[in-house]
Amino acid sequence: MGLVRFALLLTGDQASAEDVVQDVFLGLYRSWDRIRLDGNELAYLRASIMNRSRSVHRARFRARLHQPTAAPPVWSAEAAAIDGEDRRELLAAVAALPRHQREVLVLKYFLDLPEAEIAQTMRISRGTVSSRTARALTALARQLKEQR
Amino acid sequence: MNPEPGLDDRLRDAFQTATDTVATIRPEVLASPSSRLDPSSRRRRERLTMFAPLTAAAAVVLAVGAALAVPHLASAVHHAAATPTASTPAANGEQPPFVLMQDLNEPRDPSFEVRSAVTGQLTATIAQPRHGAGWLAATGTGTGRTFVLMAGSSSGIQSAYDTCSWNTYTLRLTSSGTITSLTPLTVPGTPDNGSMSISAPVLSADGSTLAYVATPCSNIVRASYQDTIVVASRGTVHRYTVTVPGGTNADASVGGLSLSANGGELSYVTGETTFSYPTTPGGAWVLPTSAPSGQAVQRAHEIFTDNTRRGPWANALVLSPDGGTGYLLVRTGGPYTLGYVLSAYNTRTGAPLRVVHTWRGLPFQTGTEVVGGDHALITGWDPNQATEVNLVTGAAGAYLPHALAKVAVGGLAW
Repeated sequence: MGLVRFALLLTGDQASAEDVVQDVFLGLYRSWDRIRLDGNELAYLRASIMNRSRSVHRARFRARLHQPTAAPPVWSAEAAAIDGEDRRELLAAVAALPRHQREVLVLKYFLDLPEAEIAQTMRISRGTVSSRTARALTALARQLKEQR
Repeated sequence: MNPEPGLDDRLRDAFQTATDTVATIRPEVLASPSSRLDPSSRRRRERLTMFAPLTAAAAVVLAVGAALAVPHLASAVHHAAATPTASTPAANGEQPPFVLMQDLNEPRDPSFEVRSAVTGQLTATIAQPRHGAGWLAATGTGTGRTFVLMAGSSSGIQSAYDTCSWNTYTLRLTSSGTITSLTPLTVPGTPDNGSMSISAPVLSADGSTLAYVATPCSNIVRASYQDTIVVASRGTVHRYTVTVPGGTNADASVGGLSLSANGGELSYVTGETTFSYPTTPGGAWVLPTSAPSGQAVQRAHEIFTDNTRRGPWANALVLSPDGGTGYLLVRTGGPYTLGYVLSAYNTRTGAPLRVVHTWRGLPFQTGTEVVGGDHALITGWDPNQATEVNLVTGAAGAYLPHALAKVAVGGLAW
């Protein structure tokens, strides 16, 4: 469930999140003989889920013309599943961030990963993790002030 | 340094709550469409809808008059021998006769169905092209008789996503909607299969020009993402690269290709979408396909720019047969307040000509749509989980929905 929750925060809806995780496990199963994880299974899964979630977003854009798009994000006013206006407001602001900033926040504040692991998962330097986090928090604070 | 005290804890709390909520709430009963007007039940449904399967879709078909020139397929692109399509279905304003719908009720084997665009009657089913492969997308020429279908190998449950092992086919129908032929289409100018995915294929009505979007299969994060529009016409291949303005986000993309009848003009839309809501400015563009390869933005001109925060957002820009008019469909509002505006633009000057029609307060969460010449197919996800496909026609002076079929619509094309 932890991985599905992680995917949920990246994709915005449960159905996509479950599909993403299922797909990642299926991919891992199929390539089990070809990859060496050396004890980094969880890191591999996290990175795979993140990549797969990106594909979901790209597919959603392409789907504008030919396929139904996903459900509204779980924290949207339309979904109204999250108690508390403050939380919905904050999550909506997170959703509006550029994806790389959103991802770094989810890795940091949901998975509680240290900077080094975030860097490994996102394949970026630790310095970039720091700067992205700072920019994301600044953008969030600005958005929240605008909404008030 | 945290620019707002307590933001760290608030984020942890919000993330945890969001995931806890989804983990504990499950849908119990899907409300019946008959209770649509009951506000309390609607609110309840709205809470439940987010758990609904993606297969729940509804569609409206909007016919807005005027003609589509549909001569016959030439063979300038290297597809299998083209058979002329029989008639010009929209010469007097009538809509193309058949619609292709992908039925998502069988997510592991989503076949395409051919249905009458008037009665919804099923006339043929397009089975999977081969074992282990599934249909990814279909696009029509606006004739209702000739389609291009893309199939990909099933690499997983979500095989429709970024499948990089694909094949393309041409489907032709008889005048009664049965299958004349389904033949492999060799796409000119394609990158190595496996390194690039292709999407949004579109064939000009005269068959001379094929265009599609090529995207790297790699999901590696990069500072900006570039898609390439490939246009193959009469033995030549042009490539136009597209980087979405302001796009440092890998979600940026290009799609919604449309060609004039002779393939001389190409339109496309750009944008970025996050959780169904665009966050990076996109727009709708027109590009002459005679322009040399290079950056699309230097060769195309913009017809419309998204208002990122509040909309409207460009969903489709489809060219008239002569390429002189672009029919722009923009989406307004959000789930449950969804609206569309279909407007005509002069593609040479970019000047708006007229608003063709406005739809407000559609009972759909989100919409997907195909505009074909002066016609539009708009699909949406019905909050009541109804899966009707509705035909809406302006022929009687009002755009009243008419149920065509009860299928969970995925892809739509004509």
